[in-house]
Amino acid sequence: MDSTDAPSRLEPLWRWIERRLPNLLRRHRFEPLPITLNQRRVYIVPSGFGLFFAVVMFAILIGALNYQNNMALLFGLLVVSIAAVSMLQTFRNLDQLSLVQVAADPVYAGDQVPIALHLRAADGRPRYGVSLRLGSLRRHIDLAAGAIVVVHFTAPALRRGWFSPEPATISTRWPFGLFHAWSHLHSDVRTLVYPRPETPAAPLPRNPEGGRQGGTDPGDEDLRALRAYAPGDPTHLVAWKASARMGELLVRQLEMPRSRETVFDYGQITGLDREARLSRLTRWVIEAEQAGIPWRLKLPGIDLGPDSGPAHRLRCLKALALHALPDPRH
Amino acid sequence: MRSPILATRPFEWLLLAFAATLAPYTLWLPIWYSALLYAVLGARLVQRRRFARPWPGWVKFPLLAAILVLVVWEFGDPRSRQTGTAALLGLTALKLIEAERRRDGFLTATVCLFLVSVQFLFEQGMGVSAYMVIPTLLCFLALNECAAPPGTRGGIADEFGRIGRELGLLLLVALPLTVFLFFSTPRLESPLWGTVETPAEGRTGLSGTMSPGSITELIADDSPVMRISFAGEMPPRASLYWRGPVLWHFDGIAWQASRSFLGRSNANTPGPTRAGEADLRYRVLLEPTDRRWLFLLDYASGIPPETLRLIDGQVVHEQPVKQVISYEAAADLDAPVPAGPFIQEQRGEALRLPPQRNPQTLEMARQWRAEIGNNPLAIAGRALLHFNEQPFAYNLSPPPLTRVDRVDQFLFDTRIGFCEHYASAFVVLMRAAGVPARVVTGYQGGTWNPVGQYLLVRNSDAHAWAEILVPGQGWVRIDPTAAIAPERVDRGGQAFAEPSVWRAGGWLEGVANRFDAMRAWWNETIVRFDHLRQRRLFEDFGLDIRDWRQLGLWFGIGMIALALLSALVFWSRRDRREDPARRQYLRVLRRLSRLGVATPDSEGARSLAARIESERPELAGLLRPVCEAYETSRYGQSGQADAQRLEEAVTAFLAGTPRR
Repeated sequence: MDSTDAPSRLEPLWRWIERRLPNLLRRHRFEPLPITLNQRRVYIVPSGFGLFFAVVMFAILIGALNYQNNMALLFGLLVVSIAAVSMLQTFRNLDQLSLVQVAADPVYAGDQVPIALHLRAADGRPRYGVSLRLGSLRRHIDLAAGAIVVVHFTAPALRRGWFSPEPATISTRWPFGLFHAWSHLHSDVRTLVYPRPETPAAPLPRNPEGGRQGGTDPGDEDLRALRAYAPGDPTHLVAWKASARMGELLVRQLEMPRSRETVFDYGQITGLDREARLSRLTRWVIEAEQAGIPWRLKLPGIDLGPDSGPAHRLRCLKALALHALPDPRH
Repeated sequence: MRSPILATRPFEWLLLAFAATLAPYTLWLPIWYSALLYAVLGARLVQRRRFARPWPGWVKFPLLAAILVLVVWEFGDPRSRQTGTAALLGLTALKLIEAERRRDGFLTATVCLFLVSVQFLFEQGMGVSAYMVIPTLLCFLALNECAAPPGTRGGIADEFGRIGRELGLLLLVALPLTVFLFFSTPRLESPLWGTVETPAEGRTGLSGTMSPGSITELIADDSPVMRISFAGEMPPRASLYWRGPVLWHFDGIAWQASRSFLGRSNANTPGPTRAGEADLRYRVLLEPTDRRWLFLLDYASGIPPETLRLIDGQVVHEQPVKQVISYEAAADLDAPVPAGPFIQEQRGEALRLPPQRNPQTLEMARQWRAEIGNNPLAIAGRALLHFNEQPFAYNLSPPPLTRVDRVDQFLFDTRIGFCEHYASAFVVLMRAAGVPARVVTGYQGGTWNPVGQYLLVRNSDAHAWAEILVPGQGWVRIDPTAAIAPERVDRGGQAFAEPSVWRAGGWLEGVANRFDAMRAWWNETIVRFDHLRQRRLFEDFGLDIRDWRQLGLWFGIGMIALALLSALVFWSRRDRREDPARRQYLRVLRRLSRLGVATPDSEGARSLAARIESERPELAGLLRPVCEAYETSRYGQSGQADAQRLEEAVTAFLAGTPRR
């Protein structure tokens, strides 16, 4: 990774290696899907057991030659031939294997990103004992001929912004454990990590101008301002008395005249650092969308809305996630 | 890092592989030891299936000590091959007891393969060799299961279909490779250490002594002794006497080889006395006998290399025959064996009789001598006439001889016996009549195998006859059995054995012939392949393997040819994958990616051109004609003109853009 950032005299060499032998090194750049493994991408070495096996076979062959025992020699050569052919089979177990899709969903910072790798044997042969490693997690799969197998991983999302899963390592020792073949899968799939929503939540701003003074309690529990509880509604909005009367769980519909709009303005939050402000804005965006309130998000250089609904929420969350971050790809 | 847990499936394959590896060893291991090992395996299987608790140390360690002590106690010398092998078998069984990790599995499967190869030091026959394929494949199946990561399958053993496909692919490539390596691996002319031998456990055959009953045991033994191919026509079976050990010394019960110098080597023994007749040339493939003697037709006119001729005409090998050997010889059928040197000592030895024994026999012989005079052949004829006239019978299970004077009991009382009784009694009669005589053991006749075009001699063809010394001629062969039961020499020993479907006339004879021909081929081609045959094989291809430079040259040429062939296959496949237009286009894409433009597979030519227009305007001018020509030649009415246009556009693009 270092050498890509700072060009060195070895740079041409690295570029040549990367072009001729992609995926030998994990420093290989992101690639578009599908990634299909071939003879340039699959690397193979004898395993530790393979080396031990070779020593034993060598002893058998030398003994057979010495004692002029042709049957032992024939047997030893058969075993050696089978072992040699198994090298080809180990390679073929990965060859033409395709990473067709990587599904990674957006999460909030601090959560685990679910990553699903979709693998398919592109040539209709079944595969056995294929291991995948992503970070510290390992998964082992068999692939039926032609079927797509989904392998689930998670990776911690530590910071907001674009998240690229680290390269997955695919390896196999099938059929006899004598050889270890591997390749690195480095897809260009990335996902967003939104800022972590602030907890406990600060009340929503009510006033288009007033930053923190908004969010006054509606006071009387007018039935017209109540709606049925939906999963995800914050508990402090539950109208407990009204719910008791009506026999179902009701939440307060936040009063909002059409003429006034709720503005979440980055510049209006004071006394907090950047990340804390983004956390608060994230929380407000989530709550506003749950409450069905149209809102407007103002970030330095960005003004979104007023609008409401999930699409607007995603737009806002993306803007919050990427605020003041450079795109890692440029 | 600890090795992962060994799952149940790989463990049970492993147990099966070891049980199969152990099976051929039970042929020579003491039965209690085989039973002990199998019992340990069974107990282990039950324990692993039923109880989670491993075997405690107070069971394992005494068991280990007991196995080692018992093995040394049973086999003696701890450095011998048997002891080492038996101990290794025991240790492997004990390793299986505590195998709980995958690395244990890998280790045990490898040791099993090693044990399969060790088995061939004890037995290289075709049957056992064919059987060894089973443990070998089981070992690989066990390895396959051991190598499967947790939650996945080994795959090969899952279904019969898959066994067929995966093993088929494996063997399709591995078997020709094995055969090639087998014939081309250089053989050693002499061992680097130790001596070449295969111990003969329970091997049967002529023993070098003859007492009543010793040959009867052989009559029931159908195992092959040797296979003979003749240069010309096969002579009549009745004159095929395969001469083996010569027995001089009689103690009243058993016949033995001479203890004096007569049983030693004699380099000066002349060739056959009667010359001129066309020699009968033949080639013998002798199975291991664990003895030094070779079997030759009468008196061989020349002896094979690495052999010695004894004074009594026996031909012996320098070493006991522990492996299949082959030799060529020529014979002058029915010619007497030349008497050779030390004629006085030979006469003395050939007239000696146990003192104070068989008075009736001695008396009868003395009478004949008095009647006929000093005419050995006439006295012999008188004895044969006696066997013919009196009610003598040929029977493979005669009444036992129990008296001190056994020859008397046979000649005057029971009168039922077979070749060894007649040969023994005849020689005693001759010696008593003053005619020097000796017993010769060997094989008589054989079975013609029309499939392999050779004569098969089995242990059941074992025979004993006599030779008498005739002045001026030498040792003349007399077969008293022929006087009583001519069919014995006409039809072979089987004429008197139990009728069998495998034997002459049985419907399975053809099958048996074919099988034996295969066995002969096996011994000839595989087991006997040594450095001399290897040299001959390569000479057939015009190669002298002693010339290293020539060999290296051919090896290099072969490797280059192989590399060219694989390159050809590779490039032809590559060409088939991509059509010509696509290949031209890919050259452009490669150049683009070198210039730092992402070119995902999913992007079409048109959208690529549009994107370059905005991203890298300096390339757009050259790229646009490429994309247009590619689209028309790929998706339009493809013609030669389009291909031409594409090629020109590509060339222009490559020429007009920097390489990097």
